[in-house]
Amino acid sequence: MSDLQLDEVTITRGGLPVCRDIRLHAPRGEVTVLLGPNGAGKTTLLDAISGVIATATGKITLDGRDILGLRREQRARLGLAHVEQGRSIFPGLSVEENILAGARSSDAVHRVMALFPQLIARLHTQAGLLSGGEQQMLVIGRALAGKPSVLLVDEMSLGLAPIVVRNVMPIFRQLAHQGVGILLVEQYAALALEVGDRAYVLNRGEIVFEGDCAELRGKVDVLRGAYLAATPAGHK
Amino acid sequence: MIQAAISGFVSGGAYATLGLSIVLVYRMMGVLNFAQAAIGAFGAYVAFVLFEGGMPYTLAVPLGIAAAAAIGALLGLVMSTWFSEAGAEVCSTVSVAALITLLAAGFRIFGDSPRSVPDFFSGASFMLFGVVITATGAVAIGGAVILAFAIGLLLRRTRIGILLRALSERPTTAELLGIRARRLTLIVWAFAGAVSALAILIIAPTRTSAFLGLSMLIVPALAAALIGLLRSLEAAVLGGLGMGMLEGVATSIPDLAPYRQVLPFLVIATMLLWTERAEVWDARR
Amino acid sequence: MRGASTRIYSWGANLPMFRVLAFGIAIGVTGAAFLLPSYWLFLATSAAIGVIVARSAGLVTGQAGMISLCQLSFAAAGAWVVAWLSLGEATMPFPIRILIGGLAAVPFGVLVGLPALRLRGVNLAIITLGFAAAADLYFQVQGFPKNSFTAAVVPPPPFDSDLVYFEFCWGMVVIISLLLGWADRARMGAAWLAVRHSERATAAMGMNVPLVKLTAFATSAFIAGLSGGLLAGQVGLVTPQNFAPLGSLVVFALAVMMGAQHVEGALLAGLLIALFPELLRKLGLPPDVADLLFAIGTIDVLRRGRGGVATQIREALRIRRAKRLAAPASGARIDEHRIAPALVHTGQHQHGSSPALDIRGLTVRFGEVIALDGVGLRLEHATVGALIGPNGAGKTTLVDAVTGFLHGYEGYILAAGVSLDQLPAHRRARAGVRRTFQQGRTIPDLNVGQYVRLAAGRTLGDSELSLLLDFFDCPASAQPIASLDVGTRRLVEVAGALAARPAVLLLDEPAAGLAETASIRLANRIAEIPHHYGCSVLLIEHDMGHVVAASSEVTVLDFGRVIANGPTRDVLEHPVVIAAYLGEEVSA
Repeated sequence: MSDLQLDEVTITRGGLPVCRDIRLHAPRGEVTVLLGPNGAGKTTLLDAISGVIATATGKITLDGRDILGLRREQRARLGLAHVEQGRSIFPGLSVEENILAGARSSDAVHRVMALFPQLIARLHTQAGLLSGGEQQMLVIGRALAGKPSVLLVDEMSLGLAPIVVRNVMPIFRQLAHQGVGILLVEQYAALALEVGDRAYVLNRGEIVFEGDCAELRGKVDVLRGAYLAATPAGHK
Repeated sequence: MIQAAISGFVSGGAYATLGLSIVLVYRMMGVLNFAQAAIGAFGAYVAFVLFEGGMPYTLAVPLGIAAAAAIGALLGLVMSTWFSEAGAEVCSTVSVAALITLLAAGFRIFGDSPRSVPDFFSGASFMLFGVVITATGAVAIGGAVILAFAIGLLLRRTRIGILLRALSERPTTAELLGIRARRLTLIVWAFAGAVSALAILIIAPTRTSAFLGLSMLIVPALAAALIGLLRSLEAAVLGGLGMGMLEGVATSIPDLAPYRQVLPFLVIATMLLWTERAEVWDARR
Repeated sequence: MRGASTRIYSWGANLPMFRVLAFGIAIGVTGAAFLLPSYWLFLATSAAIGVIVARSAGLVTGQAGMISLCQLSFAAAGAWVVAWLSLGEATMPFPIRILIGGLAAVPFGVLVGLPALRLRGVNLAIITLGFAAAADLYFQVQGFPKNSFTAAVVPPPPFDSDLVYFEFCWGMVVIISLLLGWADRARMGAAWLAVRHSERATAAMGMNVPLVKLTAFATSAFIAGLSGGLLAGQVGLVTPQNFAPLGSLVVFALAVMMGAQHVEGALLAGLLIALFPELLRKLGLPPDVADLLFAIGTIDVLRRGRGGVATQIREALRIRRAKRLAAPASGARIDEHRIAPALVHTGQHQHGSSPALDIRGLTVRFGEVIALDGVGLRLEHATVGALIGPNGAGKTTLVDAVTGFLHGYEGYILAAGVSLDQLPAHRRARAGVRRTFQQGRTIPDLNVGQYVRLAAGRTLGDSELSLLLDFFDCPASAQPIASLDVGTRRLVEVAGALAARPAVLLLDEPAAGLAETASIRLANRIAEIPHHYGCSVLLIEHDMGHVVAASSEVTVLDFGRVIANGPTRDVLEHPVVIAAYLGEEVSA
């Protein structure tokens, strides 16, 4: 099967389980949304998938192949791309160089420019000088330069004005149409639910809800429960 | 005075080249390598021993440089295998241990007496604007400048340069993009080792000091690197040259001459205290 | 430093280790002295000197976490002064000469320590190596003071006897160990440990960080100076080669490898320095290979990342002891039905008309970015207020500004009507404004009781300590912090901050890493703090259940501005707040 699949994944940090028994499926051609309040373990989960942290147990497969024992660059070369939190540009490199650093084919820059025409005028600008929104486009573009089959995106709305996020979100729909599997991690639910197909809600390291995004859009209570209430929604 | 300053060209070129390799490793790998000069000295001594054994320059020198590259790569391997997640302090402590290792091994293998080393340009010199410039001095200066220029060009213009800069700015992100970090790491360490051997080969004929003394050239080299703020290759080269020339001037003043090698410490203290003056708190929040 | 007599360690904690060591040394020293041939006696004397210099390196590097590559330069200063004092017909008692030698090294320690107020880690390594090289050059040019006919230093009777000198040196080892043991039990030793882990957390406990660092360097230089003087007395004629930079490097490496911040680590290091080369010689191997093996051993210890040999031994002993006692599991003790212990309401804080904390127009800029934009916040006396908001809203920045860790903010911060703006961080802490850190800044080398006593900064009785630990479900006082999970460490940190009896307590995500039930229990305890301690709390927390249980008032920050404040329940129902959390644009 062509996708990202997590089975009974438990991740420990400092001896404590941060995520427990996670089962998650991010198929190609779909946008999967992972929601949850701050500290729920969303970033930890993405870090475990891409190999940033190596303390996961269970099974993580990419296109049917177990990747848990592989190094970060090996996972990347198998088609996994991870856009980290906080716009992880190479600030001293130009926009073009940033893309080339992630490229595995000669037409990478052209493809990224086709997707984000706003960056064309900035091609030779130092990436550290871009606006927050442009930097976000750049890290997504850079990840796509390696032609990934699955793209992990961590909290791209962090520190960005909602209007900027609204501009970038539709890109994920477009990428999904091209057959890329997207796993979108968000703290802000509303925008993510507009572009997503399936949604998972993570709270205190456990999946407390799984369902269609459309379904969740109508269930404000579920989200409020996970975000603002004393106990996770799933326990009520 | 000018002639005295010019006499510091050889030292200056060597400090500059060593400073260059320190900056390169620090910028690319995040490791401040206290063993950098010792690696160079080891390579240079391999060349001297081979030369004494009857091997021609043209073979002994490349072999010596290759030995330094190999030692550099070995240290790089140690760093990337066991200390890739460790902080700068731990990595530097490892490099101090590497320095001790090299000094002990060097003492064992090469002995501690100064040895007569071949001067490749056998004292040749020429006049320029009324001052005498030795061939070694000209090569040392020219070599350092060309090297800084070439490395700068490589980092800015080539694909491997882009990958290296990406790796140095955000190692984890670079790995997430599929950049083969380990291979690049070894290349940088080996290259820096080779460059250090060149520097020591140039300066050794002008010094009476043995393996230990050559390894302790790390101090002026660090001063040069600090003038470049551990970032700028060009400034490190200028700093190294400047220090060499100041040292040359100090040598010509009898009262100062015995203390001329305190200069690097003064440069180090000034640079560090100036650049870090605002650092009231440590990085751990 | 405040309250140097405050007891941090109890004798009990280290008693077995100390007793065994003291006993061993006493037996070894007296017994060996009569049995050893003079060659071995000489070596054993060298070992004592090695132990002292290793201990000096362990103090500054292992305990205070500042890399020093110039310990032998300090020793050289001591040796030089002892040699100078021994010129001609010296009449000064020999031990006094040694003492003056040690004191002579102190100014150099301070001199190197001054840069350490700004330089850390790698930079400190560079400057100390530079100093070692410069000092080496100076001594090479100037030489050591010498008598013309005899060796430079001839200790007067009875110290001219090898046996007495040997006893004298080991006596010094014992005295230094006792004194440093005393410093550890007082506030000073723990303060050295604290700066190693976090300077901010040290200042937040009310300690003057520059002073702590300087005393570490000065004390270390003093001890190294003593070792230099002793060496001068032992070998008579000292040369610059005795104190070359390479020696300093080896001492540093051995201190790291053996964990020379501990007595037994310094002992091992000293014995290795003196005896290992001789052992190699006996085996027919070249003695200089010793350095090589030391260096490889150091790399191996660093690779394992579990501290020096002595640290590992202590840890192993602790685990064995814990297993033998089959102690209750570490971590928070859960007893759902226990009621809060009765605490005496101290009423030490005056409840005037001004609020406990009053922040007006607080603006913080980081370059172009405005992290806080004209924030105003009032925290009334004896209340718990919460500060919430999405990630990156500026909550921790606000805590940093209030507690004195940010330079150049605009606006005014008053505690009980008194302006804090001109005070450095440690003075704010002493003025009664305490904080905890989001990352958790306890000191793993201490046990729970030691940490809380250090944080308290005042004498804390056993009963008061145990009440406080019970109040927050902390583990027992003797439990090493290193054995606790992250969440429990935070509880200990909160208990420590409260032990100082602050007027205002700022808690930055105290419940992070706690399980849900423990989080709510902590929230209930926080809600009781004003009643029991007369202290006001400003709480940052993401878990809304926690916020609801703990606080009566809430202030919401978003993008550096206050977007709502008021009674907790009302604010959390406010559409603006919900929108900020869910990222929605507000619809009427």
